[in-house]
Amino acid sequence: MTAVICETGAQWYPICALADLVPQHVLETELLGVDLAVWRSRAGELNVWHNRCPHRGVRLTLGANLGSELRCAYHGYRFASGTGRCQALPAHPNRSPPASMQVRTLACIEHAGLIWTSLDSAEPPTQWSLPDGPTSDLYPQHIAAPLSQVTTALAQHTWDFGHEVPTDASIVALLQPVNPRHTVIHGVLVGHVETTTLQHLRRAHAASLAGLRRVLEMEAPA
Amino acid sequence: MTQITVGESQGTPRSSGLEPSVLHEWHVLNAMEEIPVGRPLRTRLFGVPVLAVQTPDGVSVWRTADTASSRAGEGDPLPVRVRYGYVWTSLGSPAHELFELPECDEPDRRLGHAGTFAVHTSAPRVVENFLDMAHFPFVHGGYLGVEPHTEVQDYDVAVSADRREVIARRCRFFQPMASLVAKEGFEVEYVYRVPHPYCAVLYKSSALYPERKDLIALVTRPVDEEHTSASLFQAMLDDQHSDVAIRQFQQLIFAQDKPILENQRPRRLPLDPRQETSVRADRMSAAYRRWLLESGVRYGTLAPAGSLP
Repeated sequence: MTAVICETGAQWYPICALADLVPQHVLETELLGVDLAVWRSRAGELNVWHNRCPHRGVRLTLGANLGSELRCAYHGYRFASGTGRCQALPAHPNRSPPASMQVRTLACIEHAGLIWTSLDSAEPPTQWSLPDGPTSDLYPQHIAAPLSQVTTALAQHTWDFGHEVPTDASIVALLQPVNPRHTVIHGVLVGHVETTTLQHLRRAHAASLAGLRRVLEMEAPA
Repeated sequence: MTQITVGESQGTPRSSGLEPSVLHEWHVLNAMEEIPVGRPLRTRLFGVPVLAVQTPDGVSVWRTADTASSRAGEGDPLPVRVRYGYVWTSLGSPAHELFELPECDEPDRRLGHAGTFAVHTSAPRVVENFLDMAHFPFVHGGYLGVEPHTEVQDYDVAVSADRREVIARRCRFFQPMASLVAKEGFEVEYVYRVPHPYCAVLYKSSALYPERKDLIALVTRPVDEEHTSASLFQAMLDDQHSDVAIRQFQQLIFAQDKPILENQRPRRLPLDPRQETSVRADRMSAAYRRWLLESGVRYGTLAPAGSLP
C-alpha cells in the first residue's frame, strides 16, 4: 500500500470518484476550503465549478442539471456546460446576460477512476505518480484531521488485508484536502484482481482506514 | 455616546464597535405573544445577551452578562417600545421613533404576527430576498409566480428626501395565487419600502379590493452577524379565512425562502457592486445595498475595501 499525494508539482487533487457523478446530478464537495459543484453534461462534458451563482451567491448544488446547462435554484439563471457563461435571464427574456454573469470554472480531468481539479493550475499534470494498470474504486474514508496528519499517519499505518494483495496489483491512497480540518482518502486498487478478491479487499481496506480514522480523530484537537 | 463592542460571531470577529446608525436605532426583539409571562426570554441582539420579561405592568428588557444564568433585573435596563405587536429595544439611545405603518389603523385590516424564523444568514440577506420579485416563479412556483411568467418589468426606485427610506413603486408581477383569497392568477402590483436597515414592508394588490393593498412587513433581529431572527407581520384584507390559515400561508412562503437564504455565500451581504453581478431587475436590491453603504450600516454586510465605517 502506498500513500500518494499527486506528486506532479502542480496542485492537483482528487475530489470525487467518477462513479459518484450519477446522471443529472450536481455533486457538492470541497477542496482547500472552497465549495465546489461537480456535474457532467448529457454529452459527457465534466464540469468542476465554484459552488456559487455569480448573481446572488446561492450554491449551485441546489440547482438542476438540465443536460447542457445548470440552472440556479434562486432565479432560474442557466449556465452553460464548459464555459459557465449565463445563457438566459428569465427576469429579462429579451436581454442578453452580461458577460460578467459567469460561474468561475476550474480545470478538471479524469484519472484513475477519480475526478481531479486544481484551484491554481489550468494545466493538468502530464506525469502521474500512480502505477499503470486498470483501476477499481475502494471506499473513500472521511477523516476529521488535516492533510499533514493524515499523510503522516498513512506512512506509519500497518495494513492488514487478511490475505495477500496480488503481487501485480497495488493499493493507492489519494488524498483530498477538504479544508484545514478535514481530509478524504480516496482508495484506488491498480491492477487485475478477481471480483471476489476485490470485494474482500474493499472491506478490509475500509476496516483498516476506519481504525486509522479512530486514532486520528482522537488525536486531533477538538 | 457609548460604543458597544459586540460579541464574536461565527465569521471574522468584529473588533470595532457597533456603528452609530445601528446602535441608536430601535430593533425588534420578538413578537409580544412570544414573550412568556413571568418567565424571562433570553436571547441575543447584535451578539449581546439580552433578557426580556413580561409582567402585568408591561415588558422590560435588560442587557445581561451572558445568556444562560442572568436573572430579570440584573444588568443594564434597555429602552422598550411595544408596536405592531412586537417588542422593540435598542442598545443605544434612539433619537427618533420607529417607522410608521398607518394602514394598521384601518378598521377592516386583519393584523397579526405570522411567525418567527431562525435563519442562519445575515439580516440584510433576508431583507434583500423579501424585496425580490424575480425569484417568485422558481422558489414560490404555483403561489407567487409561475413559468413562463418570469419577466420583471421596469419599476421605479427612489430614496426618500430625508434619506431614511428606500421605496420601489410600480412593481408588477403575474401571480397564480397571490394570497389565500385569490381565486385565480392576476398581475399583482407591489410597493416596497425599506424604512429600517433590517426591516422591509411590502404592499400588494388585494384580490378582493382592486384599489387597496395587503401589507406584509418583515422585521428582523440580527442575533449576530450571520444569524437572524426574522418575523413576519401582516395587515391583510381578508374576511374569509381563519387567523391560523392566514399565518400558514406566510409560513409556507417563508419556508420556501429559508433553504435559499441559508445557502447564499458569503452569508453577509456584499455592498461592493462588483462582488455579485446585478441586472435591471435587481435595481431595488442594488438601491438597498447602496443605501446601507451610504447610511453607514455595516453589521451583517461586507463593506467594500477602503470604505469608511
